[in-house]
Amino acid sequence: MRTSLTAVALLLTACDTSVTNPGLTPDGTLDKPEAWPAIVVGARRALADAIGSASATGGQLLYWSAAVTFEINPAGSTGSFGIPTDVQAGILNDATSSADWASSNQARFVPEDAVRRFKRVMPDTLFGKSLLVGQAYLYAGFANRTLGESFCQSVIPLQNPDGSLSPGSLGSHTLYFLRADTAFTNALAVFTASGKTDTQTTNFIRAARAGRASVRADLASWGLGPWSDATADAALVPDTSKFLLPYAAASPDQYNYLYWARANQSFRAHTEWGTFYEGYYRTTKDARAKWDSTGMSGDAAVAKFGGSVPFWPEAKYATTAAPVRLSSGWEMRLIEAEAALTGGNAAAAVDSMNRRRANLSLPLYDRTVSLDSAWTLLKTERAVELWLETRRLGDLRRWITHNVPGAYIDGTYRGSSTDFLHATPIETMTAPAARALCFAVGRNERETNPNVP
Amino acid sequence: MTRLPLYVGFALGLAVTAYPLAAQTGSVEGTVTAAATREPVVGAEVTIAGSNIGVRTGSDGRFALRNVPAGPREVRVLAIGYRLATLRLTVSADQVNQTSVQLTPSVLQLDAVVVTGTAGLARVREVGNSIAQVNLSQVKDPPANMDQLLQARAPGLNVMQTSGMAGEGAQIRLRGAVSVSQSNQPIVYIDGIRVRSEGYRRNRPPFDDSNSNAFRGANYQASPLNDINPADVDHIEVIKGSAASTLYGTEAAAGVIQIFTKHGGTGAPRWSFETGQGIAQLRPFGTDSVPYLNLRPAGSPTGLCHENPAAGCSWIRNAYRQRYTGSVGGGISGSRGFQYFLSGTREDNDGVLPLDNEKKFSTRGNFSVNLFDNVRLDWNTTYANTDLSNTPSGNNAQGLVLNVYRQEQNYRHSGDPKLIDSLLNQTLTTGIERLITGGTVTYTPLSWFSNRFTIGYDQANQENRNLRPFGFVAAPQGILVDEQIRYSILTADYVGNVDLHLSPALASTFSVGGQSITSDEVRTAAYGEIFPGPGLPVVSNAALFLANESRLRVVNAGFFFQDVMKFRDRYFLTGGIRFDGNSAFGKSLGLQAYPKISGSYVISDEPFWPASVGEVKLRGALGWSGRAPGAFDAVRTQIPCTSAGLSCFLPGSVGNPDIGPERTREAELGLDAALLKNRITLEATWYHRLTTDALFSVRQIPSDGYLRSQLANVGSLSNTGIELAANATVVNQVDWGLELGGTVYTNHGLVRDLGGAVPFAAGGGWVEPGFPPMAARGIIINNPNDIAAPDTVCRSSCSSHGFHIFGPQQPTLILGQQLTLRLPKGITLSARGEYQGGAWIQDGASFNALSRSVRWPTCARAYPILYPGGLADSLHTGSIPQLTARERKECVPVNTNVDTFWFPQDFWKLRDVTLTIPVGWAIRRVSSATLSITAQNYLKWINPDLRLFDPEMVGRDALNSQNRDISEHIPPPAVITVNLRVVF
Repeated sequence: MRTSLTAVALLLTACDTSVTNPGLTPDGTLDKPEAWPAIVVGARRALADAIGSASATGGQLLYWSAAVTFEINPAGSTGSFGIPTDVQAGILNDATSSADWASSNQARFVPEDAVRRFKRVMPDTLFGKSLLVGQAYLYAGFANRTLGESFCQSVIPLQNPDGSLSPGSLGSHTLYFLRADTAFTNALAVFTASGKTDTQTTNFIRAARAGRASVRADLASWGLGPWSDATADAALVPDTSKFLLPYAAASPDQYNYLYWARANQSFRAHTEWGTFYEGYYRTTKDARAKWDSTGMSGDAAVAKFGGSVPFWPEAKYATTAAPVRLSSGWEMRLIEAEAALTGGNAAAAVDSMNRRRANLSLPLYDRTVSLDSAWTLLKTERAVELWLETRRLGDLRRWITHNVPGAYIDGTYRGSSTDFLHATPIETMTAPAARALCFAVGRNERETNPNVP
Repeated sequence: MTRLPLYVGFALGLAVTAYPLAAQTGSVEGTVTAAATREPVVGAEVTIAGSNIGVRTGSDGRFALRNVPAGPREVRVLAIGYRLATLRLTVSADQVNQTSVQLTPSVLQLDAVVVTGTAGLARVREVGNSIAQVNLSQVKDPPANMDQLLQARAPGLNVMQTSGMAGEGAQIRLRGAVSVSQSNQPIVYIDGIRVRSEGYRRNRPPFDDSNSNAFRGANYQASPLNDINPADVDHIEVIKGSAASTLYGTEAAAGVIQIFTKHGGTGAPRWSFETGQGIAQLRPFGTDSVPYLNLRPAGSPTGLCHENPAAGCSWIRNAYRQRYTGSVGGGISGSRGFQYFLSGTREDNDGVLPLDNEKKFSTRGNFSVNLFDNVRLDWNTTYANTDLSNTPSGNNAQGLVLNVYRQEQNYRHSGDPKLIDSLLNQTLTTGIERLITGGTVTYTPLSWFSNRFTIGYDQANQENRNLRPFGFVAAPQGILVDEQIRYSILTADYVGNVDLHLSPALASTFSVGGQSITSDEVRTAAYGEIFPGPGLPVVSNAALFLANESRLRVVNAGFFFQDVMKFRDRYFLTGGIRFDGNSAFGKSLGLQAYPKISGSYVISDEPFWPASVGEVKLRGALGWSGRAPGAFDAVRTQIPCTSAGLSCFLPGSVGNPDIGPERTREAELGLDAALLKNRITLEATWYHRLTTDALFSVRQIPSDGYLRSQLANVGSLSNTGIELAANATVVNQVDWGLELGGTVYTNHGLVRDLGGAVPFAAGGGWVEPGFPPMAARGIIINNPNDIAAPDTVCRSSCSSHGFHIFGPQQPTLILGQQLTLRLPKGITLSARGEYQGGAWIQDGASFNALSRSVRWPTCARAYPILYPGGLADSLHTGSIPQLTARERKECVPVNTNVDTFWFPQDFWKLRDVTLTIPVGWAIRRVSSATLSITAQNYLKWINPDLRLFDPEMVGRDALNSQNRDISEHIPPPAVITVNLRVVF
């Protein structure tokens, strides 16, 4: 019996089951200053994943919104790296949107949570002028803009007095624009308060200003603000200024998803064949809408085209690390042009558009065109300038909803693989069936959030 | 490993308290024979009661017990198929006491000793739960691996093959699923040592689990169970759930499989050699017009595509298999009673796919010795080495099977064998080295007090490697991935037993014990792409190379108390409780307690029982056990990441500081009977299993920012069913006989409660109260064969979101059949069949193909209607009204929806048919020789609604998953083996 008791005692001593496994990091560790830069970079990564990386948590906002808006056409796969058949048909229902909804919300949450954390753990004197805080606000602004321009409705959690979050409720998508406006404004305040004038900080300031101009344009379109607020910011952003969201060749999960889906790593899932951009680039050689003729076909038959189609992938993103532009001075010129059009000044609008075209040595538009024609030009210019930057869906939504004058170039210009290229689309955003103008709130939100029916 | 000194310290302490071999000893020698035939009984256990002294009889039935303390002693003799025989004699010092023992048949084996699920040794009559036993000596078909050895051997033990890839493991379920989020593979012990039971990591380049590129391998899972050489196995005990597995604690809810390997006997060495030569042959699948789904042409193939990729060639082959095994066992009749068993096996098995091959080598050494009169040491070690080469398969765009299935709509845009064959210009290999070593010290200081201390170590090193060389068609600049994984489990286990005789009719065995299991998994992976040119590269030759590492340790430790009350040796009542701690539990949880109670009643030992009726034992058991959460589930985490060269964090899991194990309570009632002079045996069990605090992956609200589901102890689920096994000796003549047997197993699972969580999808199944766990949820086509629009309205068995719940993905009914025909001259013919029904499977391969406009045989009728000008024609939408409802959903690509691809997976297979012929007369100087010819899984019936495939081809991570999803794999082949076993 003594042996038994000794043995049990020894085993009980050995019963220390505490283990600390490496790998994942306990959340509290991020309160330490050494972790702060990585928190901000996390905000950037989360936004890159939402817009479209090859990561498993990545969304396909860029890819699928491009497919719905005819920026690309399907060329085969419907599963991995492919375009699901409902997206091909222009449908973005809640089941399809779930992954995009989740990753886009994480892209918003990460910088906003970073701001909350910084506010809690940083000295007040540092918080108001820290470039890290400024960047967190900046990415929060772009994430909210992406949500507002992409999703049909908003769900924003409520912050409790103790800092925790309560589930949000369905609201207008424009709430994201208001939230983005606030975030960009805060970013500008922090960057300015930092007192720094180096190139990096200057770029941040311009990005925040350009971001705010774009959401103020959105707000103006939806009747929630004056265009003058947008143009005031836009005017302070030089033509060639741009702010990029990086991807990386360093690991497959950071690849630019749109590029990787066409990189012939077995998948050749999208093509410019049959899009407006096929004919546009053929005619103009406008570098903004470049695509490649590969001599190959897509990786599978495409039902809507009755078979395989030529694989002519976009060439805007030519590497796995190709960044996606979040803001630019050239977009500002188009905001100024749109503001002019809303004021009835077609000539001023064409002048703004022509600044870019002159820069690209493209033929200039006639500044005497009618207002309607000028709107068509603006819609075309925004289509080309912001091509494959996750912006087209938001543009189409605000224009179509508000019956903005002018025609649309978005559509399919070939009906089958043996069809010729048409001058006008044979399928458009509204005919023969209306296509989605926004991603539905994800089914995963509806199935988990008691406040979202 | 930090606890190792403690164990060593204990062992040393034990040695100090042991006493040396007694001075006054004698020997007992004798022969054990069968009473009916007078034939010697081989392998009978002969022991001196109340001591560690024991041996097994040799091939001549003889035994010799040395160093038996002088005085009156009880000799116990037990052999499979016989009643316990006891013999009282007085051992004289320094003399050899001769004796002989005759054994009478017993089918129930009520006095056989079992250890699984009991605190120490227990006789079958004392055990209140069912224990399935597989005795190798009674297995007619020489099993190729452990999966096959277990398949269709007992009701409630479901072994499903998962594909036809070389090295593929089987999914094992005991009484269905106990968890929707944790593994349902039973835990495995070998000779008292806990060993790895979860499947090996799939060879899934590049290396990142979260990346959808991670399908570039063969997409199957190897099972660590198959590292064990079945020829080394003596017998297996299987306990199927918590009613019996309480003493194993937190990780035993899915049941326990304990394997006992062979030990030496007494006397001269007994040599055994065995060779098996066979072929694996893929049985037909697909349709008559597209047999094997293009892997093999209709009619005779012109050759093998990989050797000569020309029209009419075949991608599959009749694969040659060879196996050589040798073993020797014996004992040294010295004072220490030393026994040994040594074995070695070599296998070389081709697979039916071109690059598939499995080479195995394993060796084992089992030793037993009496260190002292009252201290016995058993030490067992096995080493196994497996080298696998595989063909890229499954849902792999660069795989052979997918691209052959899809022909001109594949990722090579061609069915031309030459183009497809270019995908085989890659190597996909897995190497597994496994060492299991451990020992048990049995210390019996007093006849009524025994101690057993076990320590064991199981280590497996796995290397997964995939080279797509420079110039490879789908990665022209080359990709190389190498992944190294080390799995280890350290076991320390102690049990002490005190036997008390409280009165002549009442006895008790009190047990106390403890156990510590430390599991580690360390993984590093390297990935390189873009090589400078042709050649055989290493990762660091690449222009871009990446590394990946993970380390995981889980510690589970606990202790228990148990008491068995025995009245008149026919009434038995057992009560016990186990307390467990686990490193994965939340900080606030503390120890978990799992109680158990069971009883058995050998009613046939009652005086009133007519002896002519036979033996009957009634039993019942109620017990709890658990399943631990994952190592990180308690903690709120951030995931380290990178973004364009900078380090970053992303939200991981929200964490759950209160998380604990899910608790499974199982009750069972049953009886075991051997009736009509043992001509009929019957085992019947009813069971009910209730899992509470079930660990469900509770989805987080996306707008709250954390995307990963969080395990939480919410809800409950249950399983109920029966197990029946009956065997009848229909004819029992001297020269010939006929035995028939059958089993029935049912299992009905139900999600009872989600604790407020909304229904959710997990791993391919649907979890919602009122339906089976991991249910097949989809869209029903109510009028599949009508020329009409699909009626997809769910009218019955509808989920809360309006989907149709087809049913469970695990079978609800399994019927086993077995036949043994005994013929003159010792020839036997045996056969075993198995039917599984009631489950549903998703045909992902068909959906994947049809949604990509692949011309698929299930649409053969629809295509001439849709494409009247031939397959190059455009789809004629105006012809759609001529299609059936199902054709409209499947054959018009824009209509395809994976939710309609659920089908019944009922099947019957002839698991084996074996002809065994004694051929000792033909080989000189052997004591016995047996030739057996076995065909496994050669005949099958599959529910025609499944149309193309075999339900045993799910691949991927099938060992651990609950869902059944057919991927672009091949079914398990039939195997025909000729086996010769000779014993010297």
